Amino acid sequence: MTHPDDQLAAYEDGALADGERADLERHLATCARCREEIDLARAARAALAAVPDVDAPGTIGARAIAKAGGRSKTGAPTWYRWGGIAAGVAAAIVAAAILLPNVGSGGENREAAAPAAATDAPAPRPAGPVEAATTIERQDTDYDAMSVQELARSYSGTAFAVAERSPADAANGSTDFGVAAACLGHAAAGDEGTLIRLIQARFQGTPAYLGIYLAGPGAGQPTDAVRVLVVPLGDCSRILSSTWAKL
Amino acid sequence: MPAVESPPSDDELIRRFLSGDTDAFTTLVDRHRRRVYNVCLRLLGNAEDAADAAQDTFVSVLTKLDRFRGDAAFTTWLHRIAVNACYDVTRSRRRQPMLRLAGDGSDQVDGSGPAVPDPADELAGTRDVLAALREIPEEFRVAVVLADIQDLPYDEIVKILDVPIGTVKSRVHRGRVALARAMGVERREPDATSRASQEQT
Repeated sequence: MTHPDDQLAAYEDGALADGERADLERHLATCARCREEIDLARAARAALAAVPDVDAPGTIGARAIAKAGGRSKTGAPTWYRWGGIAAGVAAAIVAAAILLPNVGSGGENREAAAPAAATDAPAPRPAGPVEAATTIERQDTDYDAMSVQELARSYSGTAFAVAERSPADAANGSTDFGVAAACLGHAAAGDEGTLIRLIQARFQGTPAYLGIYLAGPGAGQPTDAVRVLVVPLGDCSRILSSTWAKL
Repeated sequence: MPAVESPPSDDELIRRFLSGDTDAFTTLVDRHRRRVYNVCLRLLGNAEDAADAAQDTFVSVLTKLDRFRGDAAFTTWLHRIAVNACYDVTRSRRRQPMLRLAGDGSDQVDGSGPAVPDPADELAGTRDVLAALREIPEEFRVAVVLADIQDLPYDEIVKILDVPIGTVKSRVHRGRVALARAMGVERREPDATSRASQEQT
């Protein structure tokens, strides 16, 4: 006996027209196999309909958005919404070194930063001394452990040279940035490296700061790792997520 | 009172993006991120692969957007790209078999195991539907995910998978049956047989 498999799906949906349904029911009267399958299929259909939709990580699509922004001739580049693109990050750091030579770490770093501003840095050199972050970047993104890891990994392949540790900003608790940086620093117990980016977003629905740090052997040596540390807003003693990635 | 402005259609966002408005693409991604991720999550069965495939989907959409003709709805076209991105991820995982041994064991540890038939309900005793979904053949899985989880009409699935309508319906039915069996749903055969013979007399 041949079985009308293509009609059975619509029958299970209750979507067969009257004439077709009558034909099919005549077949069913003599076919135990199809009757059994209809019962099984209806059970599966009900189970599938109850499968819930889940929230998507906010970073999905970020790679395409970054690409779209890079290729556009108008409007602001969109990579700043998400730090995923190493080139964008490197560009931001160069910009910071040029525009903000004396923010962050006091006088002694001025001289380190100034040459990068005054001369066109030779191409093969790393991006130059890294300035500490000075502002909070606010994102409407809900991160999770995986997207935090992705954020860390996005820095892989980027060459950085770290200037001396620059705790000056973290110590300045009078600004929003200073408060956030101090909070991250407290959570990391001083072992965090140089804060190069500070994002305010959410982590699994909880408002959170994400601190992105460069870490290395110190003493002016090239850094070899990036750390992303996530703490909830208003609770500097708790770490929501912490991850490392090799540069 | 000012008129409430309705959000721009997908086609309008695409038009704006192609004429240089990058934010329009961001809006398009924001609008469809959840849908694409969920399709990939159900097709691939784990969050990491789903995120990879969904990420690839949007990159692919971006590179092909200027060739999107608007013959089909954008969502149909998007599903097609997403399904293909999932196939690609599956293929790349098969090339690295050591990274992912058969299943992740979650269907073994849920404790329910193969169903013990409940006399009160011949369709009772189901295993986790998501674990079962990972076990059925890929072409069936795609069909039931699109039809019964995403709730797409058959004629749209025809365009997504590029197969005839009869094939879509047949795969949906066969997929449902395979899924029910993988879930441990069993209809008690003796009853069915005796009922059938009664009906024939």
